[in-house]
Amino acid sequence: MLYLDNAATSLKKPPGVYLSMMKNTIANSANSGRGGHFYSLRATKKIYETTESICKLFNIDSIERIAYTQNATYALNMAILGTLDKNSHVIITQMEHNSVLRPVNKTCRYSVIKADRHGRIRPADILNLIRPDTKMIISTHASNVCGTIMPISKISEIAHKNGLLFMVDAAQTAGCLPIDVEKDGIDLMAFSGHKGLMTPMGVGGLYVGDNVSINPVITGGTGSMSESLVQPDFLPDMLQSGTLNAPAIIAAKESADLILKETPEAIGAKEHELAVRLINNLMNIDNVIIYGVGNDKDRNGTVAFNIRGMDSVMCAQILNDEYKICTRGGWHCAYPAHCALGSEKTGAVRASFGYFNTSHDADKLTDAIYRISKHYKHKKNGV
Amino acid sequence: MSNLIVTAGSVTTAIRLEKQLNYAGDLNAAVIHTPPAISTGGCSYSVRTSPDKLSLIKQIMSNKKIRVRKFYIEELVNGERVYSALS
Ligand SMILES: Cc1ncc(COP(=O)(O)O)c(C=O)c1O
Repeated sequence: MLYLDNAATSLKKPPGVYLSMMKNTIANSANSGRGGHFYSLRATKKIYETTESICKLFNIDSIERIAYTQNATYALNMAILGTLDKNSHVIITQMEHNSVLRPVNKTCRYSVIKADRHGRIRPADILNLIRPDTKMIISTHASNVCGTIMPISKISEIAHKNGLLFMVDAAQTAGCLPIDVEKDGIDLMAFSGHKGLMTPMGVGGLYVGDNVSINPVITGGTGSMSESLVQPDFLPDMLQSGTLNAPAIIAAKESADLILKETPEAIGAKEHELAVRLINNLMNIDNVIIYGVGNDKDRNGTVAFNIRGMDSVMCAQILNDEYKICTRGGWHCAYPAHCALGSEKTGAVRASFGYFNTSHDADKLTDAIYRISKHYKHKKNGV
Repeated sequence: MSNLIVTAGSVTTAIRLEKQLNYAGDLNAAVIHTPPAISTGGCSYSVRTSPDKLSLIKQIMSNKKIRVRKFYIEELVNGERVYSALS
């Protein structure tokens, strides 16, 4: 099988991740942050080492400012529900994933920065949406549908000039695009481990800048201040209740270190190159529609397309059944993004490249799409 | 026997402090569960280290922006551990 669904999860992990997961399930399954015994402290120190690597990756200077969650969705909910309420207003982009849209929709008032047909937004449009009750701007770093990269530094500049917080959903970019919380002016950032960071499932996190005041949504055992009925007010304990997925978090150090060595810039450039190769190939097939910014620079390794007139879910199914290629059809938990791109009726087929893909994979998908589109055309014409 | 106990609250902060002290000052620091006598009643974490380099320890903490709670001296008196707070 050829795996091209890295925007959902990276299927393959660096070998060190598997080894570490096994080793640390055996050696470090004691409860980190609970008690002062040898095994608990050893697991905690291993987790700490992962956090050090993740801090390096995002240029975070204080290790306490990362709280682990099981995925980006939990981190986004923690941030949104913990900083906003029904009296606050937030500005989001049209390219957000449901893990931003749904918690925002249930929690506060919001306005949407419209995206164009390519999934791009104009930061200047934000100015018209700012109101006296606006508290925050939230943007995905890159669209999970078509791979368009958002101008986060520019958005952050506008946010800070207007006294607003800026939160980034880095689910699609952590590990495969450079992120610098200082330079990019990020106050809050949610990330997944299991996508570009290539960690095992069940690892995600929230970065909380030191200017952010946040209330914990999940409260409970933290291993600290046990005498108190009130949740600790210090990070990460405030946001990290319950037992952590220690072996998976510890294994995340292996992939984070590999990414640090190869650099997110280089990994992102390779994935970009694969996307561009696929797009250039697909542009030669006359009944294929490609969504997003095409082969421009502001894209990552995720490509959305359709065979004209063909249902996207059906196309993905044929790719799976007949060509052994894993892509994802449908609406990708981001319907408003599809409305911007013009694919709201059909959804789209999404092919997303990751660390382990090669140019051969892009060509193999092209070949399959060519064959499916020819066959479909003939069938439609009754040939 | 006499030790310095620095109470930190979070285990993450305690490990950070331990690492910095051992890295910068070779201070033989170790994370411990805060002894009940000086905890506020529940669990928390502290760092046990040598008491003779308090000013270096404070300097490292200030350079690295590590916020802790209190400093205690731990001593053995008639076989029992006794703690006195430093102001
Ligand atoms: C842009 C974006 N945000 C958030 C998420 C949610 O990530 P997770 O599956 O780690 O909760 C996804 C997942 O696809 C995503 O693409």
